[in-house]
Amino acid sequence: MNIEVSKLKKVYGKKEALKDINLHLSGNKIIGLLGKNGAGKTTFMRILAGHFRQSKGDIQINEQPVFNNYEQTKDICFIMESNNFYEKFSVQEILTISSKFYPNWDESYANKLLDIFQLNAKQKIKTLSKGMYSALGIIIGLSSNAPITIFDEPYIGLDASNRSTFYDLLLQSYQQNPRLIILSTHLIDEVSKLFEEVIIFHEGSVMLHELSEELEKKHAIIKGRKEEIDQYIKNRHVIHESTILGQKTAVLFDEEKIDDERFEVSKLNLQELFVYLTKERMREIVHSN
Amino acid sequence: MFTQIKFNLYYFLKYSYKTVLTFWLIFLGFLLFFLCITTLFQSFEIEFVGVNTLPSLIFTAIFAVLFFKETFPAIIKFGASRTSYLFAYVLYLILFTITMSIISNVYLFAMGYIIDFFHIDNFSYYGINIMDHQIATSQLILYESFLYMFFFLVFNIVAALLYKFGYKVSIVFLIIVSFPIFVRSFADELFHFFAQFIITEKEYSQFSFFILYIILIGILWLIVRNQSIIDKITNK
Repeated sequence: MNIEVSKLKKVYGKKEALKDINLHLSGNKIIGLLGKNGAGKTTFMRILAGHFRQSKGDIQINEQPVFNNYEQTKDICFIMESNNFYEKFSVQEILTISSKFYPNWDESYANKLLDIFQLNAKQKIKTLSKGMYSALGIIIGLSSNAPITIFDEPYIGLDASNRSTFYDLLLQSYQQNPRLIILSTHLIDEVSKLFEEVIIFHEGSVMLHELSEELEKKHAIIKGRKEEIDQYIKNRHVIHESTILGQKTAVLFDEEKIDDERFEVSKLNLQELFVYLTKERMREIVHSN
Repeated sequence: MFTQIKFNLYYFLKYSYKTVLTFWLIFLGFLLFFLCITTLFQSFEIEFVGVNTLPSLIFTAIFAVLFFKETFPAIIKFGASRTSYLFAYVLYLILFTITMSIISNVYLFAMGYIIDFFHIDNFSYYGINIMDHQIATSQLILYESFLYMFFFLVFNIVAALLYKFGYKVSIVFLIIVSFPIFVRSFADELFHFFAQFIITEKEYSQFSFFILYIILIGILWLIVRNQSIIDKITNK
């Protein structure tokens, strides 16, 4: 699978939801799509799934447009946090219909997942709790085996234990059937280890697109005496700094290696990095105004 | 395309068979209830006149509005194209019309048989034959089918307009379209034009219905071909 996005723009009335997005996604991997609320993640995923057209720009899968193109959209399974299924159907009816539409549907796996999440096949969608509804979305997404599987906050209402089960199943399913999985989430800490690649959306633009490994290498937390740290971070890309009792901590970005024995050097987790990066971007906007 | 149409049609049937069946069962219950009442109170002067076409046309209108709103986004989410949606829709429209006409006429026949068998004088039940007793039954059945198809299409277009443009734009559009009805000279012309769709009028022509359907399907296609799956009324 090869997804090519160039100068993608989506405007709702006067609001620009996506601003000239350029992206290239290829191969089989699990990609984390991160961003604050309203950053444009869902809009991007919905355009990718062919739900609606972009206002400008281009989005192609394997060099073919996505919108209204069954050859491409049949290979996409997009599970949103809500409004996935017609509420008067039963769980079994949804599974049967999904089995028709998704060419790589695995029925026995779907039934197995039904047992794992303890869903009653006869139950109507409208009577499902939020967690059960999310579980059904997860079952469809995983059993579809779609070459592009997209989950947008798929676990609203799921308890920690079931979320953990989902991560295990996702990894297992990916290992058995490698494909492009895009997972949009706010619970970054819980899933960060699954991501091979990370994309951060911020206010309708792609703020960062990196391999997880590179992201790990590209930043550092340094801790030391305030004066020494202040001198060191001059003209460097600082995304966060704090001082307590004369000891200063700074988070540097775009730094490959720090060899200075005066400082204690460590790494952030993805969630902290995401928070600092998006906060820093906000600061830049505030200052530029 | 054939595969898509097949799956879309499958979805339509799954979506609708219970609703259609429920309507006719409720209607049957309603008829039997009044049949019992009139039979029990035959000595009193209670008279019931039932017409099956009007309720079924009202049902068709309501069902058509819900049908678009509930099937279009679901099918596109499953990856089908808008073109396949429309092709499957046309096939479904024909199936729906045939089903409704058959059930309606089975009801009419069965009720007529019961009324005759039990000699119930104070219960009358009519279909579209209430319009004119001179017209052949086959023509009436065909005309009833035309009406189901017309109602389904028109209300589907209304639903698609509301879905695409939201309340404000759609209502303004519908007012503009229906405005000529309120202008006397236009209204006369319109009545003359619509006479070809009324079976009791001498201008009536079955061919006119086919032209009308092609135009209505064309309008629906124009609305649907690039349609987003976000409902402008609920913004979901």
